[in-house]
Amino acid sequence: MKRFRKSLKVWAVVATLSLLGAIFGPFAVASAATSADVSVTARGAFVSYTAGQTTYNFGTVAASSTTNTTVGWLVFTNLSSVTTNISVQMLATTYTSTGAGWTHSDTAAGVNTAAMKASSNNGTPTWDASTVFVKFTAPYNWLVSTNPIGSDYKTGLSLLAPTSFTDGFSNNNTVRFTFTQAP
Amino acid sequence: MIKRLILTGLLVLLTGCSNGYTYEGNTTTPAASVETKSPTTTKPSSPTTKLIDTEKRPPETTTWISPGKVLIGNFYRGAEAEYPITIHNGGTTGTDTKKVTTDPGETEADISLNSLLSRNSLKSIDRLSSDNSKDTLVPVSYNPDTGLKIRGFSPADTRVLVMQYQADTKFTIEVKPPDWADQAYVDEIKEVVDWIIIVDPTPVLAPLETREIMVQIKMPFNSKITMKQLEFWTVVVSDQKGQVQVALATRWIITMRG
Repeated sequence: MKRFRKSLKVWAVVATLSLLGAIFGPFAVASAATSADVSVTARGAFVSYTAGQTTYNFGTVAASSTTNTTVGWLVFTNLSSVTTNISVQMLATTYTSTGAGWTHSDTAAGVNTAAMKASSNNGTPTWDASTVFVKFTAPYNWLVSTNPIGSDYKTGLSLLAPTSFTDGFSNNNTVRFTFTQAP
Repeated sequence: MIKRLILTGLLVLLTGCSNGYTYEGNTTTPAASVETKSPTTTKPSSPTTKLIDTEKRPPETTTWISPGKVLIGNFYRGAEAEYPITIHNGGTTGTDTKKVTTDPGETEADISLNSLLSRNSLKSIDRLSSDNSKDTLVPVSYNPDTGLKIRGFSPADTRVLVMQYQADTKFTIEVKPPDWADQAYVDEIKEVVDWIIIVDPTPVLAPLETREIMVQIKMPFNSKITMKQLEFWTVVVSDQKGQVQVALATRWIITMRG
């Protein structure tokens, strides 16, 4: 009987704490282990995106050529609960290859050096001046500062092949698109 | 041993092979089921953070993070602050297609999986199919390092094997300077990055699991930073393959005291 009463007490405490959490939880702004006079505030925003593509093969490219995906080839859908910024960066400064690998440049193609651009006109059917370089070195360029909730953002990639190259093998790199809550 | 194991493509659909063999998960008890444990185990889903507005929650089958922005105020040398970021794994299934050739007398082989088998459990295998009608495939055991051991191959033969399974997702949480904040924030950011501790920087989440990961900020007493406001990002990426990578970031904005 004693054990039963003790168990009841424990459950009563658990139920009370759960109720208090349910009532006051949504308004909490600070967490434990934070210095007493420091404030920590976070509002309930979700950041979520889906990407229509994960791979692309530019095929065989000639020296000094520019090869584009179609504009709008890559579609991101903003499933976040907030408007978002989309920035773009190159993940490696050297392309992976069974050969020496091309070098990535943030500004221009060169000898054994490729560059990459992304379209920032949100899907206008043809490539135009609305492009940004895909950079390896921060700060990175952004495609859009405020993409609305539920909206698609359409972009594409443009490869600026080296002016000349000794590595004719397949060269690979990864472009990262980062999604953040807009200011 | 397997002579050749060739990745034939990610999206080859062979579900209509009329002369093949198909193992349906959970309909046959494996002959010798041995589950292995990975060094990284997944925790049960933890309650989602109290601050989340559930009405705006993205679909369950999409990956999301929360919150989008954390404001830390009245910060100073020697101060500490912490707050959890919540990660939801919207990934559910993996489908691998491989061409497998067996040696004479060989009926069993370890087949590597492109993703992590959820919970390291054979119960996470939804389907095994072969286009070779002489195969009677049964999964035997799983080890993250060596892959899925399958029994019942026809020896000295070849087939295209399709494996569908519930896949865990490994995430990586990085701390980095902001991509597009005011340049004044970036100059001294390397020091700020050193203040940050991610309690679990490479969590492995089961399909549809939601988990909180604590982020701690401790400003050293001897810091020489003089800026009034600092910003850094925590960036969450999954172990996705390909030339396009999606990264979801939380902005952390620190306002100093005085």
